[in-house]
Parts: sequence; C-alpha cells; structure tokens
Amino acid sequence: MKYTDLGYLIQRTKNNSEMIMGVISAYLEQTPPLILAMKRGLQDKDWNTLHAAVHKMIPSFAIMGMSTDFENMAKKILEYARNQQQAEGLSELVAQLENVCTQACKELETEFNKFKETQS
Amino acid sequence: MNQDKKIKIFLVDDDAVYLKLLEIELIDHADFAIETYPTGEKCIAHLSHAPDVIILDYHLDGIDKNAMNGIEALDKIKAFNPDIPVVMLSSQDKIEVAINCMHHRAFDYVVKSETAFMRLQQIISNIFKYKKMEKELNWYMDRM
Repeated sequence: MKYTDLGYLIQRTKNNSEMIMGVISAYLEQTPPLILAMKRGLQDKDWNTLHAAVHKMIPSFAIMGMSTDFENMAKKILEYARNQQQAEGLSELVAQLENVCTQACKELETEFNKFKETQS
Repeated sequence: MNQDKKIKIFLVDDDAVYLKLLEIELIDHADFAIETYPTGEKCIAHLSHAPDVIILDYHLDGIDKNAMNGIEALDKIKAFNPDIPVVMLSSQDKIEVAINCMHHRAFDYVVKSETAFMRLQQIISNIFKYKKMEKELNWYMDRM
C-alpha cells in the first residue's frame, strides 16, 4: 500500500525538483516531532497537546497526496480531543495515524533521495 | 506600496510545509517580494520592513503554548499600522473563527483547502484594486 502521492505537489510546483525537495524536507522535519507530541498528549491525557499536534498534521495530508481516509481519521482524533474524551478506540486511532505518518515519512524520504540523485 | 514597486508580502505560519508551499505559490509572481516567518513574534519584529500585505495563520500557538497566537499577532500588526491588510489563514472552517478574525480587523479569512492558494491570489489582487480606487477617490475629493 502506498500512503503518499506527489501528483499534487508536482502540479503545484510545475515539476520543479528543488521546490518539491524543499516541501518534502519541511514535512520530514516537521512530522516526527508532531507524532511524538500526539503520543505524549494521549499518554498524559493532555488533550490540548493531542489536539494541537493532530491539527497541525492535517493540512500536509492533501499536499502529500495522502488519502482523505487518513484525514478523516485525524479529524476523529480532533473530535475526541476537543471533547476531552478518552473514548474507546482513541488509542487505536492514534496508533493508526502514527503508522500512516511514519510510512509517509519513509516513502517521502525515498522520493527525496531519488530527486537528489537526479540532481547530482 | 514599496518604492521598488514590488508588493511585499509577509507569510506567517508555524506549519513549515504549508508555509513552504505558500511561498512557492506566490514566488512565481514577478510583482511579489516574499518574506516568511514561522512565528507571530518574528513577524512583529520585522514590521519595519513595511509589508504591503500579511498572510497570517490563526493557530500559531498550537504546539508552543507560549507562542503568540494569530489574533494577538493581528492586534499588534494593527496597532503598528492599521492600514496593513491582514488575511487570516486557518485549517478550521468555523464561523466563530471567521467572525473573530473580522472583529479584529482582518481583511479576509481563508480556510486552508486546495483552493486556498487561488483565493489568496484573488484577495491580494482585490486589495490592490481597492487601494487604487481609494487613492483615486481621495485625489478627486481633494480637488472638490
């Protein structure tokens, strides 16, 4: 299963590899600390941190061509966090989103290296 | 507007991915000079660069709880110069967020969606049409 699709980014940057690499690099730098903050928020029942971390992940989903199913998953977590609810299934949702973002990072790292190779 | 005729735009967002893409979208425009800032504090510190328009994220204090939020930054910009048009950005499509932005004298409010980049270009173009009309009107009023 593929988690990302660079089609949107390629279209928006008119296939400018330097620009694409710039956006991917920002994603790779930003996402791991957000995953950690999300997990910490859940673990500490710090709903504001959980909400903030997931909220900040969402705009990148469309940019990186990730399925709207993942966006809906994130929005569901936001809803639980907003209502300060340790609902059944929340931990599962957070684990799923962590997996999605980790896989996305792996794929994007590979894409980044491909762009880098074609440049050198 | 700045003397070199370029429209100076400040982009302010703590989401590095969105900030980068926003910069890419606008940098192509030959008439724009772009400056990007990841925090409201940095934007405020550089207001002396005289931006013509500021695109400002609403949710700047998400992860860093001590960071200035978008509305606080908007208030400080307006206190510095009430004539700088500020367009607020948010991933929340909520009426109360939009109303809050308007109460604090934002020029407009844009939801971070796929069409946001197009909308922002239209809004920036409208700002300058409006400014031109206002200038012309003032010119005629002075002569009446």
